[in-house]
Amino acid sequence: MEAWLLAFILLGSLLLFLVLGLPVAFSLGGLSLAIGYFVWGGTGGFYAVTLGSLGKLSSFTLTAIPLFLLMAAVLRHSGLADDMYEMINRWMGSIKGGLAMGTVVISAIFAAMVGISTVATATLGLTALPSMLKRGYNKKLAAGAICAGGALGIIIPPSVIMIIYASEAEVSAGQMFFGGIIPGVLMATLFIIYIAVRCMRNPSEGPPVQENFTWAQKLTSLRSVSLPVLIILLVLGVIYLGLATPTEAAAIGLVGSLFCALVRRKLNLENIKQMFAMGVGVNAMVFWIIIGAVAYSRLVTMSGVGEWFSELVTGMEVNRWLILVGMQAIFFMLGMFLDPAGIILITGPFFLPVVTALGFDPLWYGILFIINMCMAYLTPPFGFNLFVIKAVAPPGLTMSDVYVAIWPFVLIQAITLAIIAAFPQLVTWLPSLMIK
Amino acid sequence: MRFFEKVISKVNESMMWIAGCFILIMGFVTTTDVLLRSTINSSIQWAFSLNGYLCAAVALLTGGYALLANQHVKVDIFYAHFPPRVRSIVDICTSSLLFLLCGVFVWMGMSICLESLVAGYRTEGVLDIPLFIPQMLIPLGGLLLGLQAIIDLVHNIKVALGLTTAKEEDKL
Repeated sequence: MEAWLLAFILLGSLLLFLVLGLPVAFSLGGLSLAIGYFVWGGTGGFYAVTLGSLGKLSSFTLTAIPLFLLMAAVLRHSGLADDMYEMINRWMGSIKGGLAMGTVVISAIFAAMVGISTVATATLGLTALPSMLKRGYNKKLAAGAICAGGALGIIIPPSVIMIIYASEAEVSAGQMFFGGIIPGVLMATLFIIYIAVRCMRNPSEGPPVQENFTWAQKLTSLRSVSLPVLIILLVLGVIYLGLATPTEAAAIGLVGSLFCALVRRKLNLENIKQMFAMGVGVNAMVFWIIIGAVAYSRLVTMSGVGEWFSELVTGMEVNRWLILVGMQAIFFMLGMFLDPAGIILITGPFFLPVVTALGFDPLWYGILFIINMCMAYLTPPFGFNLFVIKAVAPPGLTMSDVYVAIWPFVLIQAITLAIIAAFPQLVTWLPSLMIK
Repeated sequence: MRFFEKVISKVNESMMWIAGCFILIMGFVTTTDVLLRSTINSSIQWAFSLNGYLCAAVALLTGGYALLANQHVKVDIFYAHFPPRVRSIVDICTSSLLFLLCGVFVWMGMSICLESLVAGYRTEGVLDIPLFIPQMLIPLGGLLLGLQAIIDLVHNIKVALGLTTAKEEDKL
């Protein structure tokens, strides 16, 4: 079969099944097996796919994912956000827009502990949002800051999506982690500057809190960040110093967060059940997409479709940067409807060979992809964080409020994307310093 | 049918607990390994292989649980707007791909296991166990997911035939 026809059938039917509501995992896996039956001339290819799935699932890079996800679930149910928010209240409450800026800071701290995007949004949606609304903050500013802050979860390391990308693109997960730090901090800083400027120009959007706190009260509140900071230093520190791989760091982080939950007396049976349900559930979702993608990637690669696409794109007489912009535009559009794991696994077999052929650095390209996925968490109609905040927000906040609230933040993410695209050193500098 | 449904749901729910404990084991064994390595320069040789197999177990055994807990992500831009009966009919049709995936895992997985069992293959590396043990995870994972999907299929057929409404099914 002609490669273009096969690509058309594969992507067309994939789109059809996705639109018909079949989960991404089963659309990818089932469809690839069905089409593979004809392309491979029978069931011969099934053997390789089945055995390949087991090999992929037990591959070293991916073993970090369940550990990071359970760690995220443990921290989610440890009540850390409440105390950290109280600290922000005491230190930054008296500044115009201080609580919203502080929310971004807490989100960044959460992002440095957990590898997914929804944890900070869910926890801060429960604590910070009602508190800011009570103090007269503009609800769109408050909701936007919480959604956008949550999205930092996948760009500031650790990051589950980075691990999946690293496994697909065959780059080092540890280097990806450190490549994400500067872009992540830059994005958070731009969020904070935006909130500050907005509240300075219109103080009614984020009025200063009237309560006054003594220095003693302020200093005691700092205790709330001691455990998180310890966990961050532990997890990222051991990777940076070359003492542990990302998988080992994830294991240390999990044990550390369990200790943290124990100290805070949160390890009761009900909480453990919730931690397991969240960690195991999200892990199953991610891994079954990976399982589906094993069959899909094999079909795209072995049938020559991937090669055809790569030759088609690289053979075009256009500037390579235009192709890069085109890819980012496709990511952005897919991000409105699909989750990041699905997007990287669906586009990977097509795009990754092109990236290498065009001479781009796969590490830097991966970070551009991740920044784009931060946008995917916010863009309507199906940005994950929008639903997360709507689910936990007080009744006064409507979905259309949230839709309006996120656009300035999406614009800031786009600016970050452009800066990182223009200055690749911002990504590659830190990984080059790592002790290997 | 009710009994079958209860049993399968209970089994898949218990997979959540088993998988959670497996992740904890991964965490504690690996941490101990790192500690031993950085302090007394010794290490748990089998930790690396064990992690891989536990990770595969956690992933494969919980496909059915994720279906039960409605965790598998889908694009519901149009799907959410379908009337319940149409949704059930669409689900019946699209689930064919899910059953194909499960079928291949159970059938191919079993034949791979039997092959390893008969030939007496063992795992490579330090963790020396019969190879069919980790390979069993594939058919088992396919089976757990497939059985949970059968429950959904029966619900959908009932709704599609008008024997019950989607709301009544949700309550069960």
